[in-house]
Amino acid sequence: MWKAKTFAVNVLVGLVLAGPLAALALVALPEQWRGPAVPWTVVALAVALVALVRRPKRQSD
Amino acid sequence: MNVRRALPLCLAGLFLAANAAIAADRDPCRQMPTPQAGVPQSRYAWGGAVTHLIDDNTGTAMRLRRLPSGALEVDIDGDRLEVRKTLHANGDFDLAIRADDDLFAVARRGEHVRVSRRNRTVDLGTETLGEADLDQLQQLLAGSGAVRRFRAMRSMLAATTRRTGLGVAVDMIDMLIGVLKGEAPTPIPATTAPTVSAMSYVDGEAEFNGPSCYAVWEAEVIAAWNDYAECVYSFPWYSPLREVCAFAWVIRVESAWFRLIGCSSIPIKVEAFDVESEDIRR
Repeated sequence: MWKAKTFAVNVLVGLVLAGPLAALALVALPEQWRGPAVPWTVVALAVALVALVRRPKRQSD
Repeated sequence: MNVRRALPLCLAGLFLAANAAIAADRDPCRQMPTPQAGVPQSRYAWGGAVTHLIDDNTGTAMRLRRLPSGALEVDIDGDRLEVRKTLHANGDFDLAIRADDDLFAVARRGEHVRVSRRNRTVDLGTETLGEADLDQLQQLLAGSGAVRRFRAMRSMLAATTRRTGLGVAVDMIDMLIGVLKGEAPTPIPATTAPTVSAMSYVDGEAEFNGPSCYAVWEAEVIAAWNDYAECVYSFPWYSPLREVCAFAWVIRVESAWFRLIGCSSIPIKVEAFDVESEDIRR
């Protein structure tokens, strides 16, 4: 249950972050690279980034 | 406040700082071509709404894009053939077809049409068009390699290309040539009429049946960026009002982003299942 909630939060935060990131990527990329794949790639990267940042830390001994 | 709670604030600050820094290094006019005299400029410029297509049969590269002035531009690059048509928002158009050294050009401005080929020009008034004008046009177009090559290319286009917006643009150019040559107009066959599937809409390929979700988002993002750059450059570099520009940009692109997500969701449609036609094992 906890993992599902964590996953859902990661996806939601990733989606919110992906908006401005995708917009920046669109204006920064050359015109020939633009396309529908850009925003969805950014979504995947943003969700992965959020999951990485929010991963549980190991307890040090 | 622990690190996890501070993370969203840090990221938001990073966004504001990063995009302000990026904007400071960019020319605000980079996304928009230099405005031309006499052409009205829309506030929300479309900087990147472009459709590319390569025909399967002929290998012809085609491109349709919307210019910041609101005009539509079609570029066709085929085997020793170049075509460019620009349709302005007020209905005027420019058409140029080049094959080898044969350049055929047509321009319409209001009630006047100018047709030129090989240092010869015919000026026509659409309201005063007479038989003598048509004779002149036919002499002008006689033996045009550019027109012949264009029509050959059109006749070999794949059916899938003909059904796209670019295919219809090719048909329209062909009809215009037919009118100039005094031919009877031929209707576009129903089999090549544009069709669109739900998935092509989702995939961002449905330019001919209204802009796709992606095209709308892209246009809004480019327009937001242009407005943001304009806003940033209207304040001195030390002014904190630049951050307000960044905040407005973030709000605008987030709004466009969630509209894209809502627009792109896969449509769920339950079809009535035809039991009679199924071979059911008993």
